[in-house]
Amino acid sequence: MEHPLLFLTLLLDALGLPAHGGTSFLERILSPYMQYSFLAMIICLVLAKMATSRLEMVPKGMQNVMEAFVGGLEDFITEQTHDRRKTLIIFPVVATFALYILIANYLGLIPGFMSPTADLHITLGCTAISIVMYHALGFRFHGLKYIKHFFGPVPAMAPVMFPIEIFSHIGRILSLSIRLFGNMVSKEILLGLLFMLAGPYLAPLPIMFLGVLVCLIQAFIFMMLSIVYSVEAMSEGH
Amino acid sequence: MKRFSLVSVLSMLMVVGFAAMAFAADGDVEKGGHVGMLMAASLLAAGLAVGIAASGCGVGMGHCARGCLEGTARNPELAGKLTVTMFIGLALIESLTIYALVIALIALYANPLLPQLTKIFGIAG
Repeated sequence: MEHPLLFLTLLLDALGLPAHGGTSFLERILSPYMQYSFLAMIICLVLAKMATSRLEMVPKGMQNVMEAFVGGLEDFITEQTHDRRKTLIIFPVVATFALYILIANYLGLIPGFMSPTADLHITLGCTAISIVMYHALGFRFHGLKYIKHFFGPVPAMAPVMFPIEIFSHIGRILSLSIRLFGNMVSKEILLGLLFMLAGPYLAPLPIMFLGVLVCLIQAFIFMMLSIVYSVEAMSEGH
Repeated sequence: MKRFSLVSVLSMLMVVGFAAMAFAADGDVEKGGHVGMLMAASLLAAGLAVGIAASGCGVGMGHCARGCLEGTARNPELAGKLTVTMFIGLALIESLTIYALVIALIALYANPLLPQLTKIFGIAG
């Protein structure tokens, strides 16, 4: 289902750049979901700049908001890890996931914009970062003994447990990426269907309200699962 | 419960049977017949996938909400924490339906078997 109207695509069209996807490198990097992904990144950077440009002891405005966000997130992660050192290791990646995915999800609720997370490439990219991060953390904390995590509690059961664990780790890749992608794309398809069937004015409003909740919860869940996987990889084996 | 499942299984069989009959009525082993059969099967599979997944997830979400409400009734101070946990649980359960929806969308819009079949029978497009 093609998006009817995208502002950034129109802008790039006016500039004479290839903005509708394709196979060459430039076409790929300027395809619609990448444009909106870049927009989400720019919004993240602008928020960070606004928050840190004039640091004061008594925070005001954007600094206040971001301090509440970052502080609350840090407390939340520490509740899961029970260890401030581990929190500080995973915090940058996980908080970036939370902010980027939240902004990316909410972009889709503005008419003329789309959620970059409604494309499997973006969510698979985020998932790849998360998966590589927690395996790397596991090897960093346990060295080669990290492999014991895959063998289950009883040594005799290891040949049975190993394939099961491998499949569960592959399943994590699929579930983490497809959950976010499916939720976002189903919201967009529902909105599109309602626009076509019931007129553009009042009918899509309930779905948009639901979308506000779903966007927040899915961003939270992605962050939460990344934290849980990392904590599991960093903890002692069974 | 037993009767409900019997009725649902029977109705499903009927739907499948009618689909088969409709294509049997077409008769000839034409090239288009197989492709049409695959299209009809994709439509049927998409609808059934989302329907069955949603019914199962509905039961699961009902259990989840019931647990949260009972906990809140017992100990109203925990309401905030329980609600947050419930929403996480609901989103995790809901994602199962979303997987079925993704599969349904693949079957409808990006069916991997359709190009193969058209290539075998030499139909363009």
